[in-house]
Amino acid sequence: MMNKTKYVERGKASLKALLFLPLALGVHAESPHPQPRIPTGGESGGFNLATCAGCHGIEGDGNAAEGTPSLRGLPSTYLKEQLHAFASGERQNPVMSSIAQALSTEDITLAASHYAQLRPLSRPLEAQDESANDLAIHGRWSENIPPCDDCHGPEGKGVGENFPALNGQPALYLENQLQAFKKGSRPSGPLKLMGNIANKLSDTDIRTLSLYYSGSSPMTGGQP
Amino acid sequence: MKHLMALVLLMTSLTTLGNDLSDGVPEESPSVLPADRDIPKDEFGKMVRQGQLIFSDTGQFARAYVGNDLSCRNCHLDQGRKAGSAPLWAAFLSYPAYRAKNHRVNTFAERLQECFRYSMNGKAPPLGDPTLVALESYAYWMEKNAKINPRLTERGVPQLQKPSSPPSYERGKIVYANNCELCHGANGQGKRANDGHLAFPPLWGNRSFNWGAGMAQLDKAAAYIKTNMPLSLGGSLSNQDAWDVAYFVDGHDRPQDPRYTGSVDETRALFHHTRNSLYGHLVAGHVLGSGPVSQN
Ligand code: HEC
Ligand code: HEC
Ligand code: HEC
Ligand code: HEC
Repeated sequence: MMNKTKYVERGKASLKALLFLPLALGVHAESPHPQPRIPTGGESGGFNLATCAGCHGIEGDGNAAEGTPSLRGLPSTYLKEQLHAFASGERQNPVMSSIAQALSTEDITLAASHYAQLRPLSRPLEAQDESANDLAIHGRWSENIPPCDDCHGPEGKGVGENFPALNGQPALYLENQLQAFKKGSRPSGPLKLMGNIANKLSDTDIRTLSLYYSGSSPMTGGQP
Repeated sequence: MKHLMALVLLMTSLTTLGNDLSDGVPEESPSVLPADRDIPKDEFGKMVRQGQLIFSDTGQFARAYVGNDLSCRNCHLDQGRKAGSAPLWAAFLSYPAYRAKNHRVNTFAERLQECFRYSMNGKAPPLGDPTLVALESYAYWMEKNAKINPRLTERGVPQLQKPSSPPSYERGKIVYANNCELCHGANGQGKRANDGHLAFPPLWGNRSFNWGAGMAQLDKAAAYIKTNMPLSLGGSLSNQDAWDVAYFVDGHDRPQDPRYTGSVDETRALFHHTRNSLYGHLVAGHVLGSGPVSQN
């Protein structure tokens, strides 16, 4: 716990530092599939927020067009687990895997607590399609699918340390994740809850739910 | 048209039990319940919606009668539709009925009153109170518009076979840690969503159901848990695990039985004289019902 308070200061410091590091921000603009490079240095050795900012944004907002998730306000337990899963290859994503492999356990803890303390995204959600709204709020109990909001909180704003917010995530990202759970290229999560549910979703369910939780309007095709 | 269909099916259930269903509903298909969008947009529909609001967020829409953090929907899943969680529409069809709990014939409204007193640890709304009228309207609407499969008995919570070994607190504790704690918390206190709404309801402690509730009975809790929990994975626990974890959950203290006479022993003798109640027993070093109840 002491560690945490101490970290918050450190987190702020590195965030400030990163504003003077345009280098990292260039990473993304240069090529669509940049070779991620972890700037060394800093107190923790491998971890520098600037690397992450190149894709996840300075404030951790993500990038809708690229399907890069927002990390803002996601629970630190969840973030840590995901980074470890990327590093071990259980959660398959070439870009994030090589980035996560370069992080020490301490780096992972620092990164997770940094993003966890940022104010989460919050978008008003509008049902674009009756069935998405229905699944999100009422579930489909005939197939034992509870409402998504039962576990992800009202309007998908998240519950505690294990149930990440979905609100405001890029539609493309959400869609990729639901497909990944289904394919098995992402671990099913605690009690295999999410994998089990994703297996029951049709491609149409996945598309409409992803649009719904992204808070984007259907007219702009997934862009907020 | 739907209404007619429900009526026809209902008649079938009363007269020609066992005959083929004419609309091709497969034998084992559960009854089909109406969706919210089918609620009529008239004065009656308004009352139905009010009933649904009360059912979904009881503490907000019937505050005067609620003494804990629960809502009806936390136990009666799919807003009172789901078979295996004592669905509201099937209950509506089943009253007036004799109840051993109070040794007399109860109306549906009286049955609703009991839920407030025990499961909601609150006060019974007086008969005729708009709260009860709204809940009755909701139940009636759901039943009236359902396509009921007369082959199935979907009322209540299905009975669960007795376990091979007597239920154990110690084993239940392990089942709980592995399957329930993620959502209901290490102290059974439940969890709130990041926006403050209750997400996972408390299973014991002072914000949960009281000792008079159906869920405080081992057989009902075990059957309910086996059928419905862990959420989305109903049916996955073994019978033994379901009994053990029910014993663990009901082996914790909770708000006092409102029929408490001033003595735990006497209250046990009068109202809990059954193997299915742990009230008054010494469990994990504590006499259940003797308080104080943890401040969850
Ligand atoms: C080159 C771009 C890029 C960089 C740099 C990058 N990320 Fe990512 N990150 C992604 C993409 C794309 C995903 C989505 C992966 C997927 O679809 O599974 C992602 C996913 C994640 C997730 C999973 C989020 C969730 O909701 O499950 C975490 C956590 C994460 N990144 C943390 C980091 C951290 C910490 C850094 C810096 C050390 C970083 N990322 C740097 C592109 C990047
Ligand atoms: C029974 C609980 C439960 C329900 C219901 C549920 N989820 Fe999940 N979901 C989880 C858990 C737990 C995770 C985290 C998985 C992990 O740790 O890897 C998750 C993760 C996700 C993710 C990945 C988020 C990210 O940041 O990468 C998406 C997307 C998702 N769920 C969508 C949905 C949708 C859509 C529904 C409704 C059809 C739904 N979930 C219903 C438990 C649930
Ligand atoms: C803690 C869980 C819980 C809560 C909360 C709860 N109930 Fe129940 N309820 C049950 C259980 C378990 C039964 C079956 C008990 C039995 O068989 O005696 C039941 C039975 C009923 C029945 C009778 C069912 C039948 O077929 O006879 C009705 C009606 C009912 N509840 C309505 C409500 C209403 C309305 C509320 C909210 C005001 C509510 N319940 C809150 C657990 C709960
Ligand atoms: C994924 C999260 C999750 C898990 C895991 C889970 N539950 Fe639940 N449980 C819920 C939710 C959510 C509700 C309320 C349902 C609703 O409101 O739709 C609930 C309701 C209940 C209820 C009725 C309400 C109350 O407060 O009494 C009981 C009893 C219960 N759960 C017991 C268990 C037991 C025992 C386990 C482990 C075997 C378990 N649950 C595992 C999420 C979960």
